[in-house]
Amino acid sequence: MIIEYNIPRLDFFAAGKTSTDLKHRLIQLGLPPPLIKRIAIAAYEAEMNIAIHGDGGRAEIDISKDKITTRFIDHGPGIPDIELAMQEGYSTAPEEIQNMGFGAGMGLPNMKKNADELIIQSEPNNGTTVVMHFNLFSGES
Amino acid sequence: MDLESRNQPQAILPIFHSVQLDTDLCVGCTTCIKFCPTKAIRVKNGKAKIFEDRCIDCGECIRRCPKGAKKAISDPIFLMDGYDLKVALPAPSLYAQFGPKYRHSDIFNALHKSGFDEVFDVAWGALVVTEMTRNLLSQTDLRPRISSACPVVVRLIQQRFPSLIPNLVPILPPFEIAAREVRNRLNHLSKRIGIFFLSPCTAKVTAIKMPLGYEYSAINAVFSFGKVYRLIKRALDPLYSLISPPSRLPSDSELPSIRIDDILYEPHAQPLSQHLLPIIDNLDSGIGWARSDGELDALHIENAVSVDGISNVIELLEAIENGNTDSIEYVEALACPGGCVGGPMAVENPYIARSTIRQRYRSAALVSAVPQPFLDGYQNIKEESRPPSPKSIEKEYEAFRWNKPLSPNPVLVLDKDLSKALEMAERIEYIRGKLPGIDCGACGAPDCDSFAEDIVRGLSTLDECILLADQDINQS
Repeated sequence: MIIEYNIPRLDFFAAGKTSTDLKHRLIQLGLPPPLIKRIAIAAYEAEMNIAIHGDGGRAEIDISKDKITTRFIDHGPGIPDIELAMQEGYSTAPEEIQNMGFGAGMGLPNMKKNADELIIQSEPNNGTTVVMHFNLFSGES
Repeated sequence: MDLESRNQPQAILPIFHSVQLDTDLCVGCTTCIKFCPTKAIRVKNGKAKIFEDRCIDCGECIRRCPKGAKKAISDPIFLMDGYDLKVALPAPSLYAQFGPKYRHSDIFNALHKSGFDEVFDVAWGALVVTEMTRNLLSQTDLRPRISSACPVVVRLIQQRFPSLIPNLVPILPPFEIAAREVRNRLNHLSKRIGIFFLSPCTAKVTAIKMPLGYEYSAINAVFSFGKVYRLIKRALDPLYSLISPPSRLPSDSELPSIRIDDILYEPHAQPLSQHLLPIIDNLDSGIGWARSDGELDALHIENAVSVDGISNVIELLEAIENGNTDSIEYVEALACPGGCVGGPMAVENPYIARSTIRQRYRSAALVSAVPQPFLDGYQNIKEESRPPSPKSIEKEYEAFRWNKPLSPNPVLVLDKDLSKALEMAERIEYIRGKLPGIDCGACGAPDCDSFAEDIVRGLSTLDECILLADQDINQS
């Protein structure tokens, strides 16, 4: 099953809508709560990244019997140095957004921590796609 | 994880609900379905219907129903008969039902005059919870800790936020701690001690019948404030008894008989007889639990959040689940607006009640020596029965901790079998795409998503959507 979401640009009132709706559907599927929480946190971070840096974009969530794959796609400026962006505390968020409590440089590290696999595809000026895999039946949940 | 453990959470089947529908008064207007936080109400054939397995007894529909068709059910007063010793446990918010001109002791004594042999303040239990919570926070790292004092919030988390179950404070609620303390102190006197919790809260009526986190409640019955209000008011104010003579009380046969000296009772008078459970001093920060912020004022911790009103609670829990609340240590979450004073079974206006609390009780935040102030009240009780010292809290208060794991409530799960659940989810998604998406509620479901889910669960049919039917007519 594929679910799609639109993520508006810099709309902090809508921020979190994707992960809230996704969470509700995962609860309906009866997935274990710790797994739902991991997906919720990772999806929220990805959603915020698109809202802050990506100039808006969309999410595609692919749910199958053994795996959940999330794709967060934007057409923003891209990430010039992915390795640097993965470092905790590194942020390119503008000051006014950091002042709102966002952009603490924990987004990508948090996604990496919570996803079973994280793949980032990015080209300068050609947007970013963040793909995360979550295994439904790995030993731990 | 394997398939076996998937199926483990057992459905929580309520045997009782405090929030009930009066079918005769319901006009099927669909107001309630929009406000139900767990989407537990549908309107079918012109009448509301509550899904019992989803209802968490928050009482939101009681507040919203324009026809008064949603009712709060608490236990009948006649349950008091048949106990040798009748003990009242007033919730802190009871003291807010009577204006600031009365003192705490006036209301406490009026309860004795209203037919209760003993009175023990639930506020004492609140202080024990405060002390145990402070201990828990110092010994564990999991954050934020979420208060478990509000049973609506606990049940909401079981149903909609199961990943936050470990964050709940695994301590009995104040009313339960107070009830156990009373049993410990009085058990040697009789086997027939009746403990009656006076409460503004529908969910607590349900919680003593279906406890959350423990096996059995030590409470025998819960009476709403409405049921005891006139009794107390009469004892407080002799003039009130003339305006409202016993013969005008509702269902008089249910009430304990009123003796002539009740009417002659003078407010501010000392109790006539010596009671086994004396009035406890320094309960101010426990009484503060009557309103939102009360728990935080008593706890004195930085980075704590207080949230009240069920929709605000849901928003905060979403934020916590999304992981963007790292710095928060503790969350006081109360389903009713303004906290317990806003309970569906309270009599006084919640904002007036808050003001009464503020006027009568010292601000708990200003009391510097908060740890164990309640010990002072027990000077006249023999040494061995006094509450334990802070050092031994963990050991001594073991009995006040949850002793039964709290499991998720799987009522939202479409099917125990993941492939079937996925199949159903896909059909829901397909139907969602066909629906107008304006959440008009005319089908009797709160929104199009719920309607799509109802169809797939076999509870509704697509032709119940009047907008789609209209479209079909226009097309043909």
